[in-house]
Amino acid sequence: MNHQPFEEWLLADEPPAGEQALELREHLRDCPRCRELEASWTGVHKLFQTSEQIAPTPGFSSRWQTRLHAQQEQAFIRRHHRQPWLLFALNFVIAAALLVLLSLQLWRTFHSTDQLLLVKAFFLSIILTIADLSQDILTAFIQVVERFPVLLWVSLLGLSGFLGSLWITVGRQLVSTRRITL
Amino acid sequence: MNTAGKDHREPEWLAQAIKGNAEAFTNLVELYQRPVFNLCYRMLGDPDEAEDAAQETFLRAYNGLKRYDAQRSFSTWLLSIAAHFCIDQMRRRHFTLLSMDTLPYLDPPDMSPGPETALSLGEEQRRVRVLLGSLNAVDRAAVVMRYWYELSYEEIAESLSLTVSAVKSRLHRARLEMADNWMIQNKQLLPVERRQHESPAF
Repeated sequence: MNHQPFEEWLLADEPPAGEQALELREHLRDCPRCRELEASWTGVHKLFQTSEQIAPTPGFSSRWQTRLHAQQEQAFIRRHHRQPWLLFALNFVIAAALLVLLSLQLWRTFHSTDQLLLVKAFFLSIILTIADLSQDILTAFIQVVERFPVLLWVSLLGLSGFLGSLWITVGRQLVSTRRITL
Repeated sequence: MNTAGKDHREPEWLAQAIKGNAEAFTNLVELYQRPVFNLCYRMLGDPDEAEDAAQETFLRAYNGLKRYDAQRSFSTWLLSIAAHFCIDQMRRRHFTLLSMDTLPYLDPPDMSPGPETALSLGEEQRRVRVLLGSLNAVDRAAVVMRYWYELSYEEIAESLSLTVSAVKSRLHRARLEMADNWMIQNKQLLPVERRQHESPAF
């Protein structure tokens, strides 16, 4: 026997009407299983209808307020703890940006290394040329001085000594404060 | 909907609460504590867990007030939050294999019946708990919303993120399961009652 439509009618919100109601009544007379289902569902339905809503224990809203305050406090603490991390992150981002800029600058420099080396080589060659010329001049001077006699050497030394002491005396006279006597 | 405590000041409190007035929201908590707690209790079967779930429901509602659609009933929105929270709790609890039969139950605190009535009320609550305990989380939420809050199929569907036909089929399946469970309970109770009425053997 197919119980499907009868089960649906028995468990529906509204009881069947008209021909369906007659059909169901006839079926219930012959079918003990559906009769049992009808009795059981009627019992469940009555139980639900008589079962009241259950209230929480007194003080529910004040407990809720306490909980809300605790949650808000926790949120505040979390925010407070997050601030140093945010600051650190900000600094990190700025440092990273600066690093990128510096890298770009360096990259440009490295990109023109050849020119940089050419300039350095040019300066080095000038220094070497000057040193070479100085050495030539010094050699020529020494060769000339070697030919002078001893008397000339002594006379030159005496002259240079005299000129040196004269220069020191004149310098002292010019630098020292004058004494004015009336 | 049967929320047992509609107040004409509700729209005013709601408007103030949306602006961030916690005191106004506390009035809404006062107003809806019973339906929300009842739903949580019917879903979870434990007063402590129900208290926790109801508190969490109100916290979530308070934090999510800006997302509340004023076109929708506030109580249905609250019940929807509570139902979803309880469904999640039950799914989590499912892994601990906790049986509903081992859980304590709460007598209605605002009724003051005599000892016999209290006993029958306790028995009534136990039977409700066992019946609901035989259902899965979503079916249980649909049954509670239908029979304790008289929500329409459309409202249940919206609250539980289901289609109307899914709600109908879930409710049909739940009714059948509960009717079967009722039959089993009655068969188990019958021998006990018979034994109680038998004369003691001396």
